[in-house]
This record gives sequence, structure tokens and C-alpha cells, in this order.
Amino acid sequence: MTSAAAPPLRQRADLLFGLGWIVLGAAIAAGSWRMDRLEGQGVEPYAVPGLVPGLLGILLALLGLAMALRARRGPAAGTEAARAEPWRAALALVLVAGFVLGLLGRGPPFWLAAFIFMFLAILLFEWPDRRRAGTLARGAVQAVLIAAAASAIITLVFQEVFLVRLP
Amino acid sequence: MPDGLLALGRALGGFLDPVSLAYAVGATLLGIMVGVLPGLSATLAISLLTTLTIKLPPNDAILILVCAYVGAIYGGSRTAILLNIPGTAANAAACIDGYQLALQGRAGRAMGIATTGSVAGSVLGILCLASITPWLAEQALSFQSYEIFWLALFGVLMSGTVVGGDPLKGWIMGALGLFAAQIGQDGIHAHERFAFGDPDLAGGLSLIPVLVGAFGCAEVLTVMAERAARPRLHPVDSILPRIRDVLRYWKTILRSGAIGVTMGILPGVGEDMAAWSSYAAAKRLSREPEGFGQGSVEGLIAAETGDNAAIPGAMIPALALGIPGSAPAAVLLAAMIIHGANPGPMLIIQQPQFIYDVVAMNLIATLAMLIFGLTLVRPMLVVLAVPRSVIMPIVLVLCAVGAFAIASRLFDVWVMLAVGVAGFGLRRFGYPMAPFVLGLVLGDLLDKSLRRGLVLSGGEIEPFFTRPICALLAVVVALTLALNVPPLRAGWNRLRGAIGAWLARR
Repeated sequence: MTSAAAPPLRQRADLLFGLGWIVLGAAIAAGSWRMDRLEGQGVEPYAVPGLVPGLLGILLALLGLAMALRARRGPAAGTEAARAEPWRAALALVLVAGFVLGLLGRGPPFWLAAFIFMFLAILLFEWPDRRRAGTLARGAVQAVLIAAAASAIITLVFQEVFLVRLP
Repeated sequence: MPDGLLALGRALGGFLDPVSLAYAVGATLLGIMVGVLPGLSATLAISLLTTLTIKLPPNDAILILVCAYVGAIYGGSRTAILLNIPGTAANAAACIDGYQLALQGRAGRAMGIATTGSVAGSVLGILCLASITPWLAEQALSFQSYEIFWLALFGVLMSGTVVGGDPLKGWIMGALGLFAAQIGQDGIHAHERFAFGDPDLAGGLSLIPVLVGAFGCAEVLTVMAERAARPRLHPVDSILPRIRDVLRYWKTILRSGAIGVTMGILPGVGEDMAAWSSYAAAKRLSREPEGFGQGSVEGLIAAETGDNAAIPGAMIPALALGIPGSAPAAVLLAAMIIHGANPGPMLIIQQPQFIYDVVAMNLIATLAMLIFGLTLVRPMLVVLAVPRSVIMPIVLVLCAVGAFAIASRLFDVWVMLAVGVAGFGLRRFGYPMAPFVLGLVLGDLLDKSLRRGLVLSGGEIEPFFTRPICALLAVVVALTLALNVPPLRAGWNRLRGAIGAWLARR
């Protein structure tokens, strides 16, 4: 363990997460307490709709408390190290959120939305390797071909074979 | 039993048409490919296929899901052997000796052993599925809300305890899953909970979009965020399983099968734990324990028999009690409900044939797995050579289609995204997803059984502790909690030490 002045990152994360769970659990419990008890329908106090969510809120807060206390006392056991690269994580989030929130159901037909997303994702994630190898143009052509084929196959198979409606 | 055999014969006969068999073969192959790809799990395969097969006749749809389930758990052993990466979490134990065998140039033999173990495990599991399920369902007819409440809680708690390295985080995810299931109209009074006036939220979070988010979207984000190296595959020698291995290790196979089925039956425990427990037991009882970790055939056979035996095992409580044995079985259970089956104690009375249909599905899946295991080794490994930067965007598009297909609501796709992003973040801090799934599937049951039980008892909580099975489950739940919370565990250890010392003195 490192010195107390600089606790390991993960331990601090556990402390913050623990506090977060306490807040969330308390909010859930409060929301459950304020929920309609349906007394007008003759529902007994032990069968109100807020009973189980309320108990779960309390449970979550208690588990959060246990976690926060543990993080204060010592390092947590058995947590995996994050191997992610920040730029990749950010790019993945932007692309996926852009696809789901910005493209789907916003005008472009499904095949086009899927094509744009897959093309950008394949191209951008391979960019550093491709640039190093000097095959950017080839990578772009490949990305176009793969995205077009995948988009066409997915659209056709699901619409025509599985009869599924597409977004 | 003759009745059972007749029902099984009828069930098998029902699947012997070309279309059903083609579905079975295709789904098993797809399952194996999903299993081979690290990161794509059996749970994801079943969730996605549930939505894509929603328009098919129920038995064909569930056949596809069972085949994909069996195929995925089996396929994961390929990656474990060749790359030392478990293709699904259930194959982690197979990495230890499987990869060692591959390093020694015996990758093909290792795959043959994995095929042997998987098929043997499946067959043992299917025998138990066919014999135990009707019996358990009969017992379960006497269960009331009190027992069901404890079983639901037990399932979520066990899943949180055994999955991942940190029980506390597992339980937190379980509690979140249980809470997520409370959103929307409650199951007794149809009162809107935590909907904040939003009509979409009032309908509740649909299971499939949440699952696709937790296992698909979150996984895609995780893999995209990591830099993936191109895998280097080991050369593959003959993949034909040897009869000698079966004969030599028959005890290990039987034991691992029994352990696997037991782990499968225990609510929430599942395939991963089955593989590890079988492996540990084999190591402890082996005549050559020093070979474990150095490429032991026995170790690999134990791990792969265990996890495949757990698949039919996990379906036993799902069918008989409505409580899934593992995360993939939870999705399978949800799919059965979507397709009009009613798993739970009443199943044996209302749809007794369905139990045997599921047995037949497992048999067909095992057969397909065996055929692919013996023939299609090299072509299937091509999947591993496709860069992940190509596969993951395609999987994400499939996730979006899958989330949308269930009800044609864009809201469901947003739910998938929200759960996926949250899951991505939480996973990076060591929070497992499986307990969340168990919680989500069991939340409604937990809510209804607790409140119904209280109504039945007139508000007394006594029956929750005094009925025999309830008392047993309550003790197990309390002990599980106690043994995994550090201060309580210290107390327990001191108590155990004191008892030991006292016994030693006597």
C-alpha cells in the first residue's frame, strides 16, 4: 500500500462509488416512502407498491456504506486493471452515442445510418496503425466495402428473412 | 419414466423436420462463433437471438436459443486453448491446461479433449434435466410466496457472490438489477413506480434492451476502448477425440458432470463456477495433481465437462421454479416467457410436454456441437483472424436492431445505450454484469412474492423464517452475507477457531 496521503486510485474510486451508492440508495428509499400508498384502494401498509423498492434502496445504501468503509480502511481486493486507452474510449463513446442518438430514427434510413457508423468506426479505430503502415487509402476503401456489405446484409436479412422492423 | 420417454420421443419427433434442424445447425454454429470471439458472451448471443427470432414459432425460436447457448459455451474453449483468453467467462478454467497443451504443440488434441468433455458434460446434464426437473417441479407445487421470495433473493445473492472478484460489488449490481425491475407498473396493483410521468418509463424497462446494453453495447465499448493485438494462433494437430481419454478419466468426467449440474441448479451460480469447481475437485482428487497447470488432460476435461453440464443444470430451476441457474439461463427464461411458455411450478401441470421439448432441444444442440467440433475446427478459427475493429461496429449495429426489434420503440434503443454506457463505466471499476441480469429477471418475482406472502400472513414476517425450506434458505443467505463482509468474516473465523481449539482439547 502507498502512503496515506496518496491512496491508490482504485481505493479512492471505491470510496467515491460507495458514497454514490449511498446517495442513490437514499434517493430510491425516499422516493419509495413518498410513493402513493393506495390507501383508497384498501391496500394494507405491508403491501404498498413502495415496499420492495424502499427496501432495495436501503440495501443499496448499506452496501455503499460497507464499500466506503472498506475503502477507508484498506485497498480493495480483486479488481481488474483498466487497460483502455483514453482516446479509444472517448471515440467509442462518441461514435456509439452519435449513431444511436443522432442517426437512428432522425431521418436517414437504417441502412445509411448503419453504413455511416460502421465506416467511421472501422476507419477511425484502425487509423493509427494504418498511418504507421502507410495504408490509409487501402484502409478507407476496405472500410467502405465492409460497412456497405454489412449494412446491406443486416438490412436484408432482418427485414426480409426475420421480418423484423428496423429503426 | 415411460411417460417421460414417450414425451421425449414426441418432442424429438417434432424437431425432425428440415427447417427446425437447419435452425439448430445454424444457431449452434453461430453460437460457437460468438463463443470463439472473446468478449461476446453466451448471454449476448441469447439476448440478440431472442429479439431476432421473435416472429418464429415458439419451439423453433427456443430451439435456436438453446443451440446458441450450448454452442457459445463450447466455442469459448477454442479461444482458451489457442490464445489463453477465455472465449466466454465459463472457459477461464479451460485456459490453464488447454493453453499449456497448445504450447506443447498439442492444440488439436486439447480441442478434441474439450469436445469430449463438453459432449459428456452436456449428456450428463441432459439426463439430469430430464429426470430432476419433473421431480423438482412436483416439490415446487408446495412452494408458496415465502419460498419463492427466498429463492429469488438467493439467486441474486449467489450470482453477486461468485461472479467477479468482489462480492460487495456483485451484490450492488444485484440490488441495482432488482431495482431496475421495479421501474414501471408494479405487478400487483399496476401502480406506476419511478416513471416520473414518462409514458415510456411507465411501461417498465424491457428486459432484452437492457440485456443487450449490459452485455452487448458495454462489451463493444470495452473492446473498442482497448488496443487489440492480432492474435497469433498455434498450429493445430489432429482434433479427433481419443476414446482412451474418455476411458481413462471416466471418474473425472462423471464427477465433473455432477458438480457442473449442481452448480447449474444452484440459482445464480452458473457455468463459470461449475468449471472452476470441477477443475478444483479434479485437481484435489487426481493421482497426478502436479500435472495440473502444465497441460493436464484431466484438468481440461474436468473444466469443459463442468461448464457444459451446467447448461442443462441451469435450465432445471428455470423450468421448475422460474428461477434461472445462470445469467444466460435468465435470458432464456425471459425468452420462454415472451414465447408464451410459463416456466415455474405450474409448468408441469399446464405444459408438461414443454420440459421434454427443452430436453430434446439440448440433445439436438449437443449433437450439432459434436459434429461441428469434429469437422469445422479450422474454418471456425478464421473468425479469430478478423480484426476486432471490424467485428465490434457490426455487433453494435446488431445490438441496436435487437433492442428495437422487440417493440419497435426507439426508447428501447436509448435504454440499451444508457445501460451500455453505464455498464462500460462500471465494468472498468470491477462491477460484474451477471448479478444485474439476475436481479432484473427476478425483481418482479421478488416484489410480488414478498408482498403476496405478507398479505397471506396478514403482515407477519414469521412464515418467511419458520417454514423449513425458508429457514434453510434464510440461514444460507445470512451465512453468505456474513462470510463475505470482512468484519463479520473475522468474527466467524474467530468462532471457528475457538470451536476447533475446543474440539482439539476434547
